[in-house]
Amino acid sequence: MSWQPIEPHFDELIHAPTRLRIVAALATATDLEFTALEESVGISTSLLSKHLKTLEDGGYVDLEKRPQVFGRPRTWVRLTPSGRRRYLAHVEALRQMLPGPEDMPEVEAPG
Amino acid sequence: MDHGADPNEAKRALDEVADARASVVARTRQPAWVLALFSALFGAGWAAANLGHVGVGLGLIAVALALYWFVSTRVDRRRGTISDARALGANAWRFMIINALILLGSQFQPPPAWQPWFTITMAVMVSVAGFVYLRWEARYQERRIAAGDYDRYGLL
Repeated sequence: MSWQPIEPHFDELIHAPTRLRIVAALATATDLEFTALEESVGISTSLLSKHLKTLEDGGYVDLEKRPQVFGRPRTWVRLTPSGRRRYLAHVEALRQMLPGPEDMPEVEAPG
Repeated sequence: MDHGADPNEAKRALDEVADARASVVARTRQPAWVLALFSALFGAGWAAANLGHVGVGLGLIAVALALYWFVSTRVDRRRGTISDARALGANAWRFMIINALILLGSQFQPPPAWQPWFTITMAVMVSVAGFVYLRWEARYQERRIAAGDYDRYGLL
């Protein structure tokens, strides 16, 4: 386990709005159920599956179908350690793009 | 290095991130009835033990734990709890406050004429205290998760 700080790095793959929402949602959990992710992101099952396939191929996420004691198996999605690190690096890169206080226009005092 | 994202786009992207977090928290909140059921059974177990039926009391508490586990595995849609030092410290405070109240109630020996209503009343208060503790903890977790207030190793 590395305790090195996250270096900002802009990630083109997860910068796409829908994929960023997916990864941001997954970052709130160790595992997130597929339907919960679908509802949270607000896209269709097929579109989510397509994005998850892209993310899985890129090594960002893992999917796992887990049997239940009663009922149908449920699909769980989680960020890989590498995926979580790359997401955090991307968020840090976005934060660094925000204007700092020194970049804000000066406001003249009234009077 | 130009990544094709300007400050406005970065702000929009970060807003999407915050919105996604809040959305997950809202949609994966554990239903209150799960905690209420567990708290009620726990209170009933406490009452049974206080009335001298320790075996029954422990059995009820074991049933409460088993039911909570079973229902959680069926109902939970998000896994992961913030377990950093701050969360553990906050939880310890909540645990101590609630348990201090339960312990104080357990120390009082009522006159026999007050039973069983005294124990029943105390059991209800224990159940409510347990429910409050569990909801308080859940709300704490939700607040920090929605705010992204944890690092990559704080979520277990």
